[in-house]
Amino acid sequence: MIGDYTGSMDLFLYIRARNWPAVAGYGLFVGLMAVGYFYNVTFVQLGLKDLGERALGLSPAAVAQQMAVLALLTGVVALVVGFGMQRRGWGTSLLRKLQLALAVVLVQTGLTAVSPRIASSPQFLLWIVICSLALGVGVPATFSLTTDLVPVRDRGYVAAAITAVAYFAAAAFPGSWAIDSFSRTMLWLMVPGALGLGGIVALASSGRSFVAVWVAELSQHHRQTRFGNGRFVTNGHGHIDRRFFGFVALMFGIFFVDSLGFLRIVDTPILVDGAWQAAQQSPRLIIAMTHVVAALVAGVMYTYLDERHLFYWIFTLFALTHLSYTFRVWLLPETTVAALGTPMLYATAVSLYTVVNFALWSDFSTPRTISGNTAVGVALSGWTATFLSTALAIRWQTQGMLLDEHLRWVQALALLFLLAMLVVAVIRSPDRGNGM
Amino acid sequence: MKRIWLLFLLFFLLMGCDDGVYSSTLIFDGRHTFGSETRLPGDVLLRAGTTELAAGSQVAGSIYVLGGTLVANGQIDGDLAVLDGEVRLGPDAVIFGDLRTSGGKTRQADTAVIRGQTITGLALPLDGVQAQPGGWEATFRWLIGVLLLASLGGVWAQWQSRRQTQPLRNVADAALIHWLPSAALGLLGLLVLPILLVMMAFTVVLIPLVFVLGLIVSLVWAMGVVSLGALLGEWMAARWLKPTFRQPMSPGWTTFTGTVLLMGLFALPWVGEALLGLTAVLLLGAVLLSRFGTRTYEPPPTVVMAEDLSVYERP
Repeated sequence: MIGDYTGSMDLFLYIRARNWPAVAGYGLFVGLMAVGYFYNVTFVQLGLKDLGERALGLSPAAVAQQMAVLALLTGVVALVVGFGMQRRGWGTSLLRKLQLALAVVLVQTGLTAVSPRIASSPQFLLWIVICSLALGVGVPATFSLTTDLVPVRDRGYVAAAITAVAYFAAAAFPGSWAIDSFSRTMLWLMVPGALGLGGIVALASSGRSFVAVWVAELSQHHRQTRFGNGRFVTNGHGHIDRRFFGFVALMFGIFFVDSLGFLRIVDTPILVDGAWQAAQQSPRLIIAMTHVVAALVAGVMYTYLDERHLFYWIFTLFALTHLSYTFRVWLLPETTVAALGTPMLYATAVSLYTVVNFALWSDFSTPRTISGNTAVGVALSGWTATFLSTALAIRWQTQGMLLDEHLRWVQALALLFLLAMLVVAVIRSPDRGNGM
Repeated sequence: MKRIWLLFLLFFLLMGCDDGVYSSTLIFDGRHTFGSETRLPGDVLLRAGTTELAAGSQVAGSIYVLGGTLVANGQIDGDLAVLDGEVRLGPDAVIFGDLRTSGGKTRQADTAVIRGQTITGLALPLDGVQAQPGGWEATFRWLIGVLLLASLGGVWAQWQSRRQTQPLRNVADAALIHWLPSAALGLLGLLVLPILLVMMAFTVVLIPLVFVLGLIVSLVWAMGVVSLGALLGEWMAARWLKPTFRQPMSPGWTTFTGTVLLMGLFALPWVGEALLGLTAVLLLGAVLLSRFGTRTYEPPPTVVMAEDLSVYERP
């Protein structure tokens, strides 16, 4: 008997029980998702902008349009693939999901390798279309691995580990924000990753060797109570309900607010030169460590507290961050003094919501519904919001909107979401008596 | 009803921030001339534009110049801090505090008087840090503070012992039994709070709220220490005193003794500071987790488990 109350992770219990296949499942999931997310926040978000504007000489408005195409296609493909997987019952087939993930990794590796050689606008558009198809398949395929590899109780911690690794790498070793640099860095990770995943899928598909036994063992996990139904599945079938759409709207708001502000901030040298793009290592390390600490904190909070409180924190932090940036731009428009307080606030907010995003959708799902639910959650809230706001940010910039006005809009949006949440909370007046 | 009272208290505290407790003048643009009869009650912050203080005018606080032009020919009771912009001190200018410059241009008439120091490279004063007393005086102040906190905590614990709600117990339970979420929440608070306070102070407009927030943080800290002190005192009484005297110690006395001991531990060199840091994180989180002790924290059902280790073994 372990005891009536234990704050311990299931991972530690697997280690104590010497169940190494289950422990390796955690490693596979964290590795796959962390590299995938690192790719997303560096190569896709910053690299494509550089490729379009600097390397190809396209106008910011043209790049904004291409980004909107990427958003729309990714969202549509994710929904089609997600619900297709759900209909065919692939959500409960670990091998099939790994095969799909491998296909995505191979396509993305190829796209990453050819990206610096893109020389024209049609090639760029073709690249974007193929990238959207791959990302659209990748979202439901990889997120639905959760029900096989991560027990419900550990989803917050695992999401924290993914977030911490991805953001630490992105903040501590940013290199130059140029497509060539991103491409080289990513290939160092993706080629060995593709070979490793390819080996696992090949051996598991052949049905021989210890790898096949390992995958077969993991593929039975979703039948256990510990893995199967997420913590927010109350009706037993895990279908999308009103509450789910409430969270989609909130996550859409978060992604939208984050991306809308960040793309303008990264284009403002006085705001990034002393932080994300600092010449010295120490400011970048401080931001990277903030990401790690905030991710771990978010992992614990997600596990122990009512998820609404994380949303309160996130919107409050975003509002504060942009308020802080607005004051800085307003009061000290020409100062070169680098202050790390606001970037640290920003890093904290970003880590908090990323953890929620990695854990939330699977916790609303059963093994059968996870691919569809994840597609709706990640595609509608994450991809669509990020790239629509990116397009809007670039359009505002081209229309000549001043920096402080842009940041005030973002700050107002964050406050609006926070206020809306508080109003809804007061109207519904829930007293779940759970946590804070 | 309780919420209404809390909002009323906050409103009341903010009311106190009007002229008298804290006032300031913010100048963001345009041309402003303050005549010889003018008396500005608090600090002045200049962001841009041109401001002129005529001979005979008076600023009761400090002036912070972030940009624009200041032509000062009157009396400044506090400091003049120049971060950027242009400052001209006229022949009748008198600064009772320091002249601090870290940027911009400052010109001074020969007859202008600076009663304090002229400091270059440090525009914002750090006097509070240097002005801390040392030696016996510091020890005496610390002792008075500890005894006051322990006495108030003891009175509260004694009063609380006759009631059904147990705020101190709730906070202590959150800190000790649910230490992980408490530490996480505390860490998040400590990560955000200093940045928030500095940012609010930097805006000048929000300085009154810094005081309110500082007061709340102090109350949270005091409540946390007393809660933990109560538990420590209770434990000591059960372990050492009860077997000897066979008479239970009152909650007030156990809280008083535990709080004094806890504060004594914090005062130990090296170990005390580390203990203080860890406890601060834990207690801040515990107070928030138990909503200032108003409820007993209970983790969600997914965390509470009673399972056999064998279910984690390979099939």
